[in-house]
Parts: sequence; C-alpha cells; structure tokens
Amino acid sequence: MDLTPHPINPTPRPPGELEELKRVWATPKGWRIVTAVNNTVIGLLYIGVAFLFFLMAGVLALLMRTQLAVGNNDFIGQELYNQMFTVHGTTMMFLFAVPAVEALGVMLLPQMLAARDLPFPRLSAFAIWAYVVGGLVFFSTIFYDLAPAGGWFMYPPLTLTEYSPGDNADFWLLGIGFIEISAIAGAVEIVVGTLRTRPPGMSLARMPIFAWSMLIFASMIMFAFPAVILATMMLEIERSFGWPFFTAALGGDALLWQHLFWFFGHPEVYIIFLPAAGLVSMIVPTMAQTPLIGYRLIVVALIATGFFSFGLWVHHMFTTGIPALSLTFFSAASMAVALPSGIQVFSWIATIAAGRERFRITTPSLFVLGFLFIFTVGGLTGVMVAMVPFDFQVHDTYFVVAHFHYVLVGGMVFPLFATFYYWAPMVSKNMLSERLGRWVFWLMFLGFNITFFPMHLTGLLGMPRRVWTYPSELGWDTLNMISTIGAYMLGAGVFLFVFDLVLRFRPGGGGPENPWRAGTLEWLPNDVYSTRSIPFVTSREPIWDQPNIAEDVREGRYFLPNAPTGGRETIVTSPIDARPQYIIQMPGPGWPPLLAAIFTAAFFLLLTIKLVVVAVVCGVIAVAFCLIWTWSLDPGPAKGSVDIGGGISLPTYATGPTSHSWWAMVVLMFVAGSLYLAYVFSYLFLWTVSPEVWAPAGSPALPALGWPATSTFLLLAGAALVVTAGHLLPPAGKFGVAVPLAIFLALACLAGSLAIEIAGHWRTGLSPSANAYGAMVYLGVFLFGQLAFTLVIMGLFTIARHAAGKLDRERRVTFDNLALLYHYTVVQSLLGLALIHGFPRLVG
Amino acid sequence: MKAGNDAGPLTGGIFYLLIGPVIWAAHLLLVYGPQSALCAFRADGMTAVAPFVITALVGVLTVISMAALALVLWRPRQVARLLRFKAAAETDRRFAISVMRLLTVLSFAGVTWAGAVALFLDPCAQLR
Repeated sequence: MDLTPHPINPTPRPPGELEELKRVWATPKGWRIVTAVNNTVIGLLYIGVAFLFFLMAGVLALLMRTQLAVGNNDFIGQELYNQMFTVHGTTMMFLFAVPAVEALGVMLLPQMLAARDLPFPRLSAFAIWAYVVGGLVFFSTIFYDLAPAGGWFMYPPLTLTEYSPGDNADFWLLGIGFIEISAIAGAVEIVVGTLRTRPPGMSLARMPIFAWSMLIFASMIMFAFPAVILATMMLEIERSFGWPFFTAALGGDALLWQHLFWFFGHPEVYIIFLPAAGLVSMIVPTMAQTPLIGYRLIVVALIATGFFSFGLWVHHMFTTGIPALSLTFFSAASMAVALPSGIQVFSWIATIAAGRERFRITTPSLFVLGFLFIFTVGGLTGVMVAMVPFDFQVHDTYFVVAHFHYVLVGGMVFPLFATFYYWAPMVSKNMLSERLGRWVFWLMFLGFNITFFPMHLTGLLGMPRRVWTYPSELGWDTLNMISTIGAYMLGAGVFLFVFDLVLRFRPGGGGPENPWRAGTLEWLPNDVYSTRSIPFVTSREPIWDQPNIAEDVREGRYFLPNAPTGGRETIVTSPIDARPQYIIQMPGPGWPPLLAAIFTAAFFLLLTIKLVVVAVVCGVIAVAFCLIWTWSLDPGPAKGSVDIGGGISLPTYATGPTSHSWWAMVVLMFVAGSLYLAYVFSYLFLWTVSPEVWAPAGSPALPALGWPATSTFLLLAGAALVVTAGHLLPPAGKFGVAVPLAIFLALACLAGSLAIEIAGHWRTGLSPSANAYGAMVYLGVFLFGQLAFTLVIMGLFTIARHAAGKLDRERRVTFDNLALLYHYTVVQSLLGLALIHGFPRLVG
Repeated sequence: MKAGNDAGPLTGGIFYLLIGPVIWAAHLLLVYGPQSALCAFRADGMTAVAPFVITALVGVLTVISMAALALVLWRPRQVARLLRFKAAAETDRRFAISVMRLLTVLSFAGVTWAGAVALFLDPCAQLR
C-alpha cells in the first residue's frame, strides 16, 4: 500500500487514546523509579552519572595539578599520585567519555527518530545500572588504597603480579572489562535502534547526522572493544593463574598487550569524538538556520574516520622497536585520518558562513566555536606526533599530554557542554541560563588553554609524563604553575555550570518548545510516550520543510497515534529505505534488569577480591534474573496485525532476518567474531615472537588427528541437530518431544566436543602455565567454553519455553537466536581446531 | 513508497558503501602482516628472504589495491549490480554512489600514501 507524505489520520482522534498512551508509557513513581526503562529517564540517569564521574575525575586532576604546581612538592605521595593519574585517565575514558556519549544516544536517538523508545529498553536499563554500580565501586578504590597504579593503559610487565602485587590491578582488569560489556550492550541497542526504528520515509540519506555518528560509534565499539576485553582477560588470567601471555621468559610478549590495547585505544578516541562531532553537526545548522553544508561529505568523513581509526594503533608504539617501514604504514594512516576530520571542520565553517541568518552567538554556539579552535589545534599537534621522528622526541612527555587533552577535551567535552545547553529544554522545564552559560564558557575556554597550552612547552623542555614531582632547577616550575592556575580556572567554570544546573535544571515536560527553531524531530512536541504520532519524513529537516508537522504530530494525524496492542510499541522500518515492516512490542518497567545488573557487578567485583564462592552465587543469581527478564520477551503473534493509521496494517510479530531480535544476535556475533579474530592475531603474533616454544619442537606433540576429527564430527552433528529441531517445531499449542530431544543432543555434542578438545591436549602433558604456546592453546579452549556455557543456558531456556507452550513454529524467536549462536559457535570452533591442530603441523 | 522490505539486501548496500575502505583495510593488513613477520623471521635467522622481495611484495600489493580502487571508481554501477545494491529512490541511489566514490577516493589516497614509502625505505631497518 502507498504511504502519502501528508497527514493521514482524520482528527479529532477518538477520546481516551492519549490517556491510554500516557498510562502505557507512564514513568514509575517514588522509589519504583529505579525500575523505569523509558529512554528519557534512564538516559538522564546515565548522563547524570557520567557527569558525576567527570566531576570526580576532575577533582583528582586538580589535586594532581596542585602537586605539580611547584617542584619538589610533597602534597601527594608517589604511590597515591600513581593511583590518581591511573584512576583519572581510566575514569575519564571508560566511565565518563564513552558512557556520556552512549547516554546521549539513549536519550536523544529515539526523539530524533520519533520512535517511542529504543528497541531493547531493558537491555539499556541493564547496561546503565551495571555501569553505575561497577563504576562507583571502581572509583571508590582510590579512597582505600586499592586503586590500580599502572596508568590507564595498564602496560605489562609493570602490571604483572611480580611488579603490581595486591588486588589493585585486578580492580582495573575485572571492573573495566565488565564496564566494557555494558558498553557493548549499549552498542547493540544503538545499532539496531538506528537502523530499525527510524520513522517511515527517513531513508539513510535523510538520517540526522547525529544518528549517523551514533551508528558508526556503535559499530566501532563492536569491533574495538573485544580486543581490549580479550587483553584484560589474558592479563587477569596471567595474574591469577600464571598463564604466561606477556612474560618474555616463557615465550610471551608485553608488546602483545600494547597491540591489543591500542587496537581498541586508538579507535576509542574516535569513538568519543565522532558522536561529539555529530552533535556539533546538529547544533551548527540550527544556529545558522540553514541546512548543513556538505551533508554527504560529513557522512563520508564519519565513515572514513571510523574505518581509518582502526589502522592507526601502531602510532602509539612508534618507539617500541618495530621496523621503520611498518611504522610508516601507520604514520601514513595517521596523517590520512586528518583528511576526513578536516572535511568536517570545513563543512561546519561553510555552514556558519552560508547561514540564512547571521550565526547566533548563544552559549551552545560559543562551546561549538571553542571546540572548533581547540580541536583544530589538537588535530595539528596530532599530525606532528604522527611523524615518526617527531614522536621519538616527544614520546612520553607533557607534549603528548597537551595533545591528547586538546583532542579529547576539545573534541568531546566542549561539544558535550554545548549539548547540555542546547538540548536541556528537551528534558527540563527550564532552559539553562544564557548569562551564566557565557561565564561558564569563558572560564572553561580560557582555563583550558591556560592549563594545557603551556604543557606543549613543558614537554618540549623534556618533562616526562606521570612523574609525581620534579626538581625545581630544571626550569619547569613557571609553566607548571601557569598550568595549575588554568586548571583551577577550568574547575571554576565547571563549578559554575553545576551551580546553574542546581538552580535551573528541572527534569520533566513543559519546557519551551523548540526554543532554537531547529529542524529535526527531537523538537517535536514530546511526552513520556515520545511523539503522539510518528511522522512520515520527506526531508532531513522535517520541521523546516513540512509545514504544520508539529501540530499534525501532536494531534495524532500521523502513524501510531494510539497503543493498538495495549502495551508499549513502536514501528520497525526497513534499514535502508525506512519502509514500515512491523510493530515491535516492548517490555515496560521491571526489577529484573536492575537486579541482574547489581548481581553481575557483584560477581565481577567479588571475583576481584577472590571471594570466589560468593561471586559464583551472585553470578548464578544474575543469570536467573536475566532469564526471568527474557522469559517475558517474545510475545508471539497472538495480537495479529494492527492498524497504524492511513489504512496501513502491520503485523505485531516478526521472526527471522526481519526481526529486531535476529539483528541483535547478529550484532553480538560480530562482537564475538571480533574477539576471536583478536585471539587469532594474538596466537600468530606470539608464534612470530617465540616460535621456539611452539609444538612440536618446543612443547609436547599435538594430540593425534583423531581428537580434532572427533571434535569436528560432534560440532557438525550438533549443527545438523539444531537444523533438524528447527524443522520439527510443531504448530502453536502442540508439544513435540523431538524438539527438546534434538536441542539436548545438540548441547551434548557441543559439550562433548569441548571435553574432547581439553582432554586431547591434557593427555599430551601440555600445561597452560608452561609457556605462551600452552597458554594460547588453552585460551582457545576457554573461549570455546564460554560460548558453549552460554549455549547450554540458552538451550535449556529454549526447551523450557517449548514445554511451557511459548515456543512453536510461529513463535520461534528464542529458537532462532539459539540456532544463530549455535551455528556461529560451530564455525568459530572449526576455525579454532584448524588453527590449533593445523597451524603447528603446517609450520613445524 | 510502500510498506515492506528494502529494494535490495542490506549487506549488499553496506558493502557497496564501504568497498573503498574495505580494500584500504585489506591492503594495510596484507602489507603490514607479511612484512613485519618476514622481518621478524629474518632477525631470528629463520628465513633468508632478501629485502627486495619484501619491498616488491608491498609494491605489488599496493598496485593491485590501487587498481581495484580505480576500477570501483570507474564502474560504480557495475559494482552495485555485482553486490546487488538497489535503492528505492533516485536521490538515495545518487547519495549512495557519491558516498561510495568519495570514500574510495580517500582510500586510494591512504593506499598510495602507505604503499609509496616502500620505495624509499629498507623494509626491515630499525630506527634505533
């Protein structure tokens, strides 16, 4: 059926429709607010906590600047200073920057896409609570001398048990590893939300730039974070069980950590920057009252930056002894990435210059202009350090500290403050003060430059990073004192912002409507249900180009002006052209995500302090809550099709590649695949470093080929059983014993394959702690075991749903997810068998 | 516009947009991996590959990548057909072609930039 670009529903709408929408989407009151899953509520919590971490890490920065104000200072001792710079960097990168932009995604994306919510609201809630609990516990370690002290990048061998005894480093490894999982959960939500919950008509070519940047941000998380998750896993295993991945004497290599860490760490900079650039691309056109100049070029720049950022990691390792030619590959890529960044800067300047009105100088505009200046300076020093000879000179000096603060604070913090001022009216009854805002900006802008510009000079004068004090006679005192004064000025700006926030920020509706005269959908009239009806979009700035759209949306003249299923729902559209496909039924508030997050955090944190039994109990409880939560999903097709307005009827259930659930599982498989590729890289890297410990010459001979052949047979048999179970699913209301039996046998095949793989190596006498080869072999088994464990839980869950009459030929999303992950596991395991059993035979 | 599915498969669309950067990434992987591994083996005495072989390898891979990128730039419609990429509206199709082409141009610059250095440097020399 054809969709018209004009309002499609007759008005006035039937009485009671709006009240039902309000009832369905109502935010829980009182202390039950913690069970809320609405994106505006948890998004606000998310950004509030991220900002709290910014403040706390900022206080640490001020303390460190106080220590460095003069030479030979003893205000802070060396050990505490080491902990402070580690917690400052870690908090800013992992607990503030990434969560803050992810929070903005959760809060703004549904509004910009006129969706009622993101497709997995409980997953968002889980991710956020996990981050809140885990983050607060991690930060608190600074108060009782348990904080890590190895720098935010935790390089071994310094962080191995020999040089970092105690639990301090473990708090970093398990705490941050856990928070990365939370970030990945958010990324799944954002990828699926951006591609599948856009309003009808909003094809990719009409998507707001912020949505593009969040899509690329989330995709980058999918490929970057697994590398550091694997690295943290390896380092924690080495610290706890002595598997020597990073110990040179046993064939390991500390440089492997650097490769894995920076394969994550450099894209991380762009993971932080791209959403901020997306925000700027939304603010600039509004302030210039003109469409963004070079929309296509900006999309190109975002994609290119995202891609190229994965080819730069070695530029953090220029001084590690890698051959010169290798360095130049990465030097070239580091300079090439400046091109797309430059494209964006020139597009913003062109938009400002070409404005239909003179560019309005408001507080958000000031922060945007401040960002342009600071980020450009940071970009220029970035090109300087991309040159190998220059980097050799300034490596590990304060020049680098100045450079990355210019990039990160300029590239992310200033746009974030612009965002606070710009989007506050969307979630608050009052706007923030323009008058105070200008004071905040100038204090922050001047304070920032007074702090960090002198650091370029301090670095060129030779002051190394991470020193807790320095002798006065080296001539660094004056520059350091200036930096410290600037830091307090910057702090005063942030304090004034907090004061303004306390004074004027009042969450809730009723604020001014579209005060900046913006053109994008988040400025449509909003309530707890997002927009009253979901518009048909015909341009990139619908509010500018579609007269009366706000009024039509408010009156319910567009799609889904009601709650036809009686619950929470939104329209799912096709990923490229945004054609309506089906109605997604979404869960409402509930305790399970919160409790699952608390117990998951407890599992990781208790494991850190070696309370293994209690940790395992918490882990079991966390899994139980996850199962309770997922039990209420997969509502089935019982509600049939519903009318969404304009004579269009959409199904309320979808399976297979159309389903949002299928998409989430595919995204998760990309994450798992990325982690496994990082493992394959690590295996081959350590072989190039220490071929002498590899089997058969340096380790026990490999198991006979019968062992991997049996494993392979079991894996393939399991996959065949899963396919068979899919064909045997009975019609609704019937129970077929063949399905549970096939799933159970498939799980048994998987467990058998895993057991054979372990036994095969164990019988040869190979020990994981003997050398790096043994460690890598058993790590491969461990990764297989993780997936097998997950599949066993999912398999038993699937059987239980079938037994409860909640899974059949039509209602099969749970089974489809199990099948997808099972087949993925089979492919990964077959690759693993080829690598572990084939590669040493090939090269030996 | 109709309710229903996209005009073409999403994977084709994604790959079409990203074909330039994908070739760039493949080039980086293929020049960096073998070059660094061969240099490591030379240092360990495990192989006696002559330096010019490594330089030639980088050069050949660079030329192949540049040719592939040039082909994509020259024949975008054929590449779209090959990848089964379709857009429902003409504006969307033009948008996709221009984004793909610009990304390919940037990738071409990246490949040329990285590969050209092989002409000037000893492939396994250390800087210290």
